[in-house]
Amino acid sequence: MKPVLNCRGLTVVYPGGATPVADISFSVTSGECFALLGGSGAGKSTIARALMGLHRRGTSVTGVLQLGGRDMIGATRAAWRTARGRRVGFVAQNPWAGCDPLRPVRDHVAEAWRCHGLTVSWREIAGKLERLGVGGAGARMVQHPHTWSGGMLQRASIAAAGALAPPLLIADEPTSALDADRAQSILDALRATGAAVVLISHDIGLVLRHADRVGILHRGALVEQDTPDALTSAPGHAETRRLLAALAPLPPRATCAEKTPLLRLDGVSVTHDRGRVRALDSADLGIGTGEIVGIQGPSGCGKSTLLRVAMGIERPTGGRLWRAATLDRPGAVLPVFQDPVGSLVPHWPIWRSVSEPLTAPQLPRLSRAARRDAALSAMSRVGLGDIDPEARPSELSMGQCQRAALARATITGPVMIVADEPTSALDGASTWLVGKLLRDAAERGAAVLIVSHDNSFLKRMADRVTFMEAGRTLAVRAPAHPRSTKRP
Amino acid sequence: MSALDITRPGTAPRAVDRRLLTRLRRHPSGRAGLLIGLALILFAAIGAVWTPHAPDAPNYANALKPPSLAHPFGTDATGRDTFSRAMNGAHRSIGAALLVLGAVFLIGLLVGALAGLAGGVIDTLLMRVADIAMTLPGLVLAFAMLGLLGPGFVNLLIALLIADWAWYARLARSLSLDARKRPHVVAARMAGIPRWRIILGHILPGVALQVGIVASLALGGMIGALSGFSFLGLGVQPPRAEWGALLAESRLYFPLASWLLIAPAGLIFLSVLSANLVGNALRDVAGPGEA
Repeated sequence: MKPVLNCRGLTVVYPGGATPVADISFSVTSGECFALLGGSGAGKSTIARALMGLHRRGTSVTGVLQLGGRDMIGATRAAWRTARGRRVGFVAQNPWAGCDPLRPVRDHVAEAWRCHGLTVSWREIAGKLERLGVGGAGARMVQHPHTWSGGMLQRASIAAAGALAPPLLIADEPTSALDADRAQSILDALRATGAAVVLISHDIGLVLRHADRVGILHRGALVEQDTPDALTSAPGHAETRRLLAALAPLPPRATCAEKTPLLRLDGVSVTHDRGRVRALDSADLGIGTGEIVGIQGPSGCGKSTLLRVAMGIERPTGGRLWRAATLDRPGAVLPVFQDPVGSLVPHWPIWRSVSEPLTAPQLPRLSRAARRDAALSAMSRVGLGDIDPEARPSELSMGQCQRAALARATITGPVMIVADEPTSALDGASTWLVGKLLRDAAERGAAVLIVSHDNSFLKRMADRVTFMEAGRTLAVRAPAHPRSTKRP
Repeated sequence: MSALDITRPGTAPRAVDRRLLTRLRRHPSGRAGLLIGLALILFAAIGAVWTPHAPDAPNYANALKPPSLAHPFGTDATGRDTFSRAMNGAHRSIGAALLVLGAVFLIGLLVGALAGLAGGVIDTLLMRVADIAMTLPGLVLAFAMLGLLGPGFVNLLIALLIADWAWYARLARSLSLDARKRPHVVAARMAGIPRWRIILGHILPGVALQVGIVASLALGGMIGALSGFSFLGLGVQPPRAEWGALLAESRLYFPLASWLLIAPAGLIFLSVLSANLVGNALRDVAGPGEA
């Protein structure tokens, strides 16, 4: 079959001399889904920009880059403008970021025709959206982007990218801004356009499920490419094995024999703004020592409010809340946050952030050297033994920062750890590790409360998962029974 | 290779210097700004104690002489050496700008952080006062103050201080409000760290750095403003030398002796340039996490 994209020895050199992508060769045939998989900094987005002709001025792109048989190396800006939309379409990571909030959704889709001087009827756009699974598109497309869900809006971007039926679509992390259970339908929509897809992602689970062939990127080089089955059964490169490690099951949990209840919420409600906003309607939750409880639900359903009530920094306005006396001791409840870098003090060396809970006045006073030693051993427990303890958070990766935050959360042996979306900024391998570390803390007797929208993560991690919707807890289910998906 | 072995790909380990001054020195325009600034400070320091000619003593025989070897920037209407006067005035111009900015920075930081962190009545009260100070145009406020206190250098500094502090207080307040909600502050609260230590350790350093960057960018404007007031005769009183006052004097004799303009204007230009170069570089080198 004729390739729609052919790269031979593709090399990108930035004006400063840095070479983020060196000597990459791959080709994509029509209708195929080829995935580029790699950690952050592997060169994924640089390749995406090179394939679209969107590299910065002064960047040199050499080698062979053929789009639909036409050589695009050294193509003029005008030639690239004609090619974009006609020969290659693009689907970005965050659909909201790509939309002007002041214009209705249909304008954004129509732009795909208008920028090439073509006209299109609203009926045609509605038809395209319907075919990609947007119900009632004719009425909904006059709404503004912020009223659409991420999954719906991403479908609109796919409709725009495929408007002129380009034989190739580039999708750069198309699902990472969306809830995990929407990923499947977005990838289906991508394939439904009939174009070949270059799927760029750091999510190995997603890639293995959906791609026909996978290329592993590592430090700007394509170290391995093969079908998902071949890669999983016989990974050839160390980076492939590292990425695959994220899929390994967590070690089985020894069930804690004696569980002391720590926290009990019965029909707890929280209202803000003098009762005008109900953040939490009727929430039930219970957790004891050594337990891992997950809370799952769509954004805005009250997960974070529930967490703040559990942490004791927000008072319920109704219902019953019982907290064990051990939780009221300062430092008994320690948090882990969604933003790993922001959860560490930016101007402090990492060891100082990690050891901060030891400086609480109710704990025995330790010398600076003793605190540093305690921080170093806590850091080596979470696999950060080899980093410079004087490093600032901005010098570390997201995964490293989150592990440092976990080291801080466990350094004093807290009674309860409260984690708010601890893995949403992390790639697969780091997610696995964070899961394992939270498990370890539970083994040592801490109660662990995790809010996440990552279904598979909670399924692997938690003893129980509580689902929430519109400020209410719906049901407590053992993680063995995944939620039946209500929406398509 | 174990799963624990996760380093950021693509970045070789390198020594990172975390001291702000070292990073500032390595920044190309920061380096140039620092060099010019140091030279000016040295020039001002020497000028405060020694000048080639007496800066304030008139010598009518020598009036309005063009530049020569003995008087590289000529002499003024009363025969005083322009270069000596510019040199002697340097510590007043630069020192005053630094003094006013330093005071504005400190007052703004303290008032703003107090308002942002205390909240409630204190916040409302302080910010309404700041609002009032901000609704009056700075220049008019300074004129009014000088009218009240009478012209004079110290009064000018007080007037500028009153005209400017509110802007920095506003900035410090909004930065403190933002910093208060950062995850690392919540984590410290949960760990039972006392409030004052969170404020000193977590919140103030970041706020101070950001307010400091804004203040350093305003240094050039401050030198200009001081010179402007002296130019109008509201600052340094004769026969004391100051760059703005020198510029004002040179205006009278411009058709006869245009060289009088060169020394004060050039020095004002250089100090504004230096302050802006350093301020810009500071903004660049303060890491994204720090500022």
